[in-house]
Amino acid sequence: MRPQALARTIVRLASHLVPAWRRDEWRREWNAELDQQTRERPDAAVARSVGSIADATTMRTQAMYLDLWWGDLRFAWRNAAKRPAFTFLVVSTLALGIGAVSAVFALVDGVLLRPLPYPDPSRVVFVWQTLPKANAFELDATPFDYTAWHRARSFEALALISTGSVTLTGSAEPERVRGARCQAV
Amino acid sequence: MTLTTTLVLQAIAGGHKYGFDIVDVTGFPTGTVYPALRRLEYAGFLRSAWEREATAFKDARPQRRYYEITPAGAKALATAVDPLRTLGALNALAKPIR
Repeated sequence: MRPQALARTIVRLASHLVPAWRRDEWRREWNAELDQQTRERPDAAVARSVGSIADATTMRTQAMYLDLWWGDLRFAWRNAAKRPAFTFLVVSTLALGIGAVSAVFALVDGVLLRPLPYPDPSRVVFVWQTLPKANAFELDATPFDYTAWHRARSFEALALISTGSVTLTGSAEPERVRGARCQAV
Repeated sequence: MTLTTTLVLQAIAGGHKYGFDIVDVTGFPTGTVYPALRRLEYAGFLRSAWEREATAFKDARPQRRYYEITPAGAKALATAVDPLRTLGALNALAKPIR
């Protein structure tokens, strides 16, 4: 076999390692180089063509990462399409799980994580009255208590608030609503 | 970057733009140069393109695939060559061992 033919055969055999979508270009590049080489130094053509095996192996390795990823995706899709009931169960479980986690997180974020919309929220407190002897706790403060506490200067600011139900009247039917009375500071 | 890869990149930066030309100038076998070219291109340090058909036709040869260094490649080359230059400078200062 002539050196040029032998070199081309080596490249052709090595090209089977190259991924199909790059094979033609790869072969074209090698053949172009070998054609020129054969004209200038025919004796070196075969030795140089042997390098195509290492080159093709590199191409195969590079493509393997992509091939593996793509192959896994296609395998998963085929299996999912084959068993629609199971796929529906898995997708529903995932959807419910993700939805539940999102709802819980939204609650935790709103109640525990996000700060209250005013400065120094940790300094804001409710003040109650306690009468241990009468076994009475969390009693509402009276206006007299308020005046006494205000005079004591233990708090930077104080305000009275009283919650309860009130009757809303007007042109329509009266309505019982929950409300609160508070003192303007 | 390995010394081999650095030299291949340096050859391209020096104007040797196709496979066998790089093989000739570096003295490395094709089985070393071509895989290095693939890795460098994959890493974004090189880009390649076929030369114009008219040019190849004029020189009566098949079209070649030309490799060109990218800005990222030039930066990587500068980083890789720097310690080698320092080593060369140190070597020039060293007294020969008798």
